[in-house]
Amino acid sequence: MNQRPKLAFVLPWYGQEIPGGAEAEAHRTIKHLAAAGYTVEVFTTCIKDFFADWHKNHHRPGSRTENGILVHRYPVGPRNKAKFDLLNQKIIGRIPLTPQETADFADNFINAPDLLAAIYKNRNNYLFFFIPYLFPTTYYGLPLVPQNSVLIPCLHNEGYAFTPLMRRTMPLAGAMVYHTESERRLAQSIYDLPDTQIQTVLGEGVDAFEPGDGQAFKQKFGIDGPYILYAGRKSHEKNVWQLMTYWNEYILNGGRYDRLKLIFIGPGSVEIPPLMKDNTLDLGYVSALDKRNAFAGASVFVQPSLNESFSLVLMDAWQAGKPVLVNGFSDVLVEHVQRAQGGLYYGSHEEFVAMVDWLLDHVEEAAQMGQNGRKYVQDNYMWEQIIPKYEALIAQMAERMGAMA
Amino acid sequence: MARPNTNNTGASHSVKPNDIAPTLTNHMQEEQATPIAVENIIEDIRRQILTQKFKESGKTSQLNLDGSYFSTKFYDNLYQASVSQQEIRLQVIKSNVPLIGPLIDRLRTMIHQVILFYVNQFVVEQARINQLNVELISEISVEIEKLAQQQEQGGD
Repeated sequence: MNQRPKLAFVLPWYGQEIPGGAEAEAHRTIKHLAAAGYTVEVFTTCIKDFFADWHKNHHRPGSRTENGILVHRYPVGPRNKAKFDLLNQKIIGRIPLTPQETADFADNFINAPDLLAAIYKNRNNYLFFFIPYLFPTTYYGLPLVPQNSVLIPCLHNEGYAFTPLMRRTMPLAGAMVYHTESERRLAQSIYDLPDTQIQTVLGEGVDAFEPGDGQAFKQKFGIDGPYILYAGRKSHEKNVWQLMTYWNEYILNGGRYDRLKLIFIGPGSVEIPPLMKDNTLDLGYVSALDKRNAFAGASVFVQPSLNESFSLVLMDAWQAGKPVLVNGFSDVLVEHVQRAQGGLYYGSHEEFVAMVDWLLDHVEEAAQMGQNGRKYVQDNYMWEQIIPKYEALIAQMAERMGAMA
Repeated sequence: MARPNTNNTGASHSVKPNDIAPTLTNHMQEEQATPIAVENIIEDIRRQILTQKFKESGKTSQLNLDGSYFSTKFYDNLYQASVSQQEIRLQVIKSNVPLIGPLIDRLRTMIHQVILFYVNQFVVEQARINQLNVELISEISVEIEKLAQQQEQGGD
């Protein structure tokens, strides 16, 4: 194999508009690697996206060029959804599965035998990138090409990470690409990873975030005071319920800025109790321009999530020059904040209330935190920093593959 | 949960509550910026919270949060235990039922208040016991640290 191997990204679904951290990361990384001169192809299923039925073929099977990238799509077969859902709940609740249950879970997740056959057939033709860790595309696909595989796990501290499937798969990867040191530590604490496996904390590439107009955002949505911004999916997994609880504490029990608002943007919805209506606004999905303007007008950006392996939206907030307030129980978010010196992290509702007030009281320091965050993103996660790291990794993998040939 | 490891205080520049949203843009242009030490600021905020809690409870004792003999996690957990919530607060999710939704909300609120009245009596009692335990652990840790120091000096 030559020094510039063909690259194949393997993931359960693929498309420009597909939401989700790993999916968006894959799309952007593929685009930038292709721009850097690599031949990059995608091996995926015909499923539309995460929210679709995983036994339905939305896309036509076959190989087609989509936005300059050759995409190979393979059909999915039937699955027992009821059985999967039951076992999935057990895994989420960290209830151990029997070996038979593990097998049932694995076989009723996404059933794409043709995709796996194609990976095996092309085992000597590509350097394979698998992303993220928890799907059958990875735990069935990666063991077919262990020596020429790179895993971008996007690992969280969640039930899936502790299943035997993952314990079996993770050590097989030729290389692991982590977003943060915290993610690397988590992987090393769970899995028995061999010394021969390349371990790299590479980060994630971030697109430049164009500056917005905060005043235009306030005018458009009738906001006349300071606001905290939450941007992202409004779901239980993102810990939005806890943010609402803490925000309730701020409004009813001790927050000093009674005109302060909490504004949500992004998909999904959030229940706003009557007493919180004057201080809470859910704008739902907004345009890219409104999103930029929302960041520009915010006093603070809040990230309550515990399940982050990187948090792209934190980088957006910092690129907009905003201080952030993050959940102190997320090692990844705390690592970012400590390295960037770009905000604060809370561990209780009392700290949340006190830190919101602190950030609004201390205008200069808050602004400096935003500046620090911006510098942190520019120094570490812009594509001009990320692509050379991928190039070094690919060269290292190519060398190994050459030695094996 | 990460723990700050220094004792300095973050610099401050206050504005009055309810001022119009602070515009950060102008400050971002400043060349000479104040150095930020996030860990110190968080440490300071935590101290203020603890001081306030002790003031409210009429106590003057302070917990041993600055030691170095035990692991960082020990002092972290001691802090977290000391700031845990001492009562359950009222939270009512809005009903989506048309017309009678507000009535359902009011009924839910009343029922929740009655339940919380009784539940909180147990919660407050348990919280008192928890607080005593935290203080005891803190005192024991201080004694252990003293003994360790004495042993070290004796060894020299």
